[in-house]
Amino acid sequence: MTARLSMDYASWLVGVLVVAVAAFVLFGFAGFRSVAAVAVFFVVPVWLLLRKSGVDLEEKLFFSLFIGLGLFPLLVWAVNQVLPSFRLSIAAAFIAVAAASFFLPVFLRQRRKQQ
Amino acid sequence: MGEGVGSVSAAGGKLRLGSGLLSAAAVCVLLVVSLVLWTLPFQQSQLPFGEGDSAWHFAIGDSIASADKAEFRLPFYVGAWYYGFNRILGPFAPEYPPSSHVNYALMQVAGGERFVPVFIYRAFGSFLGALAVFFVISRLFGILPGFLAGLGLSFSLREQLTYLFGQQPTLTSVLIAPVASYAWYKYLVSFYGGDSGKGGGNNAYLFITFALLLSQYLLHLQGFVASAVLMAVFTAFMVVRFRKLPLSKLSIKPLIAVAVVFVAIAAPFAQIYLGAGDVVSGSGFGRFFEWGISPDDVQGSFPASFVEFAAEYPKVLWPFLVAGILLLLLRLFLVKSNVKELFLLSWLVGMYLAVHIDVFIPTGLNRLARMLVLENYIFYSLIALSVVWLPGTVSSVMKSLGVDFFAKKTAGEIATIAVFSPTRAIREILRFLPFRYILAAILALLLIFTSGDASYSTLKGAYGGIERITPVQADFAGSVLGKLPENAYVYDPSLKFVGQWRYPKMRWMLAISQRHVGRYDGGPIPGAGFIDPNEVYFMFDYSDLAVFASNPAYQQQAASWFIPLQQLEQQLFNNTPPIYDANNIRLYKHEPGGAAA
Repeated sequence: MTARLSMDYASWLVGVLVVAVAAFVLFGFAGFRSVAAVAVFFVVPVWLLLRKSGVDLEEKLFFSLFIGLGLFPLLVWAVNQVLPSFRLSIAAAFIAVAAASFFLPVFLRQRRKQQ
Repeated sequence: MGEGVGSVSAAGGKLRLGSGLLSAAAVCVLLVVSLVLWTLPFQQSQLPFGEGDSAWHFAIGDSIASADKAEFRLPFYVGAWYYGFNRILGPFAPEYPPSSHVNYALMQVAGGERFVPVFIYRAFGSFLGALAVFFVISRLFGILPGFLAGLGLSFSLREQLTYLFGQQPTLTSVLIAPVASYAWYKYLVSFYGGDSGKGGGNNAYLFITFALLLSQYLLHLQGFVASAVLMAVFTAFMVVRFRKLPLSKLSIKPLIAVAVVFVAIAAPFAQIYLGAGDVVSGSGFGRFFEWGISPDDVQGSFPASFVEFAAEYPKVLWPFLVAGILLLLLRLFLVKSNVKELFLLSWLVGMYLAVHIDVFIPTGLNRLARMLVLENYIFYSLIALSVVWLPGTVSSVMKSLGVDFFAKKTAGEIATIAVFSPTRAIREILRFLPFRYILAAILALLLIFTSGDASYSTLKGAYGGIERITPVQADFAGSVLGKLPENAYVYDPSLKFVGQWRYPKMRWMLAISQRHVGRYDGGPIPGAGFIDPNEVYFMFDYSDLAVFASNPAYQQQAASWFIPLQQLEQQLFNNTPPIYDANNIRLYKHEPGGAAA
């Protein structure tokens, strides 16, 4: 089961890499960075939040992408209303999502125990 | 995973390739094909392309990245474009929530360049519809139909035109509709199927559905409306099917919680949509009985091919589409557990309602036309499913009639038959052919050689030559216009004489220079109160006309444009030296109280 899951993870990672390499062939390093940016900005943040959600890997990846397209930029925009720099806000938003993804399951577990 | 998602055996059945690997491979192929195809317009020339809308969206994202700050209000050079469009929020208000334009800025920051990363995002944000439909169809019916539907959508002319013109937020938002409706499908199935065993649905899917709806709302309202309609129709079908509302003591609390969160995030941006200054009127009830949208209704906004059925679906695909619709209806009655088929039917009905929403709510048909991509999603799904359903359904129907066409005999039995009747033996061997895969291969080839071929021509030839901003114009915008004061207002009088084809170039000059460039059709200068009369400029760009004039076939045409433009230049700036004069472009500063046309 775990081996199958690792194999699936690896397949998707290789898939992203192939697309990034295709973009590199067409547009050089800017193309590679752009495809990587699509994966990092739009898939990773929501995937971190969904990682304990119980939906399977493929659903997690696709849901993350389509949620991330609208919600991660909003978070960056909201953070930028407080922080003076847009670039700094991207990093802060990413850290906030990563922190939430680690602390949210702990918080929910504790709450369930209390109930 | 749905039917058809088995495993591929190789090396005598020892190596089994999982559905995850197959799915990743299919997605990878779809993405690479789409990336190569859809980026054709900027593989040769990396100068920006698209209609005015594309320059407008680019300009806002670009302003965020270059200023390193995402403000709520638009900068002067963009805000002056649709000045006062929002009746509630007033001048310089955004026309969309921030997500789409922040995405442009994110891509510029991460990609390290001004144009290529944004155009890659534009391509991704447009062909992801193929991925969305692949995901839903492969989850429900298998990877093969998912892949075929995705392939068809990779070649979809309607989506390609929306992408080329630059109506990005709408397309990116609408293409999420299949995924949002799928998440809602999973929630309702878990509710009616009693996943929790206590009468509540799987809350993970409920949260995901609302997050997807929120994502659509933040990108463009049209996608949100499309999903709401599809989900409402599917809910109605499920209520009728199970004779029970999808509400229970357990489901109410999470439903209220997600609704509250949705409203809390969506409400601050509601005035952007509510204050929009579009003047529209509802259509009569008669339009409800017209399929799609007429070319006359979108004249000036889209070419006729955008709404024409035959342009989107080549005639060779029509039998597959008809078969897909008939098989769907047949399966609704034949298949005992027909929830997946009900889901597809809800897409079909929901798509029709969404494309005719102007009958119920006043909506401009040129905006509503963009909803037609929903038709592509369901039709390409049905086209793809026809090849998977046909062998199985034919077999079932024949079995029910007492003829088991697909029953296979052993090699020994066939050999015995061959001795007495060779033709019957051939018929028996034919039963071993994988009809589903043969039909799939035929469909894939038809897609590649009809829609695929047409797509390649469309995208390869898009915005070539002087249809796109030229290097001379881009250089002038960046190095001359870009040095003017930030509140400069540059008039371009050429549109009045040359025509609308120059409009996108003018707007791309605005985007590149980060200074406002607007059309001048005559009248007072400055034309509006928000323009500083001390910072008004006039641009006379003859560079395109020079290209025309260099071709003997267009010399007369070029002269008919050149003469009135030059007359206007002399009338306005007879004794004034230009502040820039090179490459057939001249720029003048207009003094307050100076001449007007």
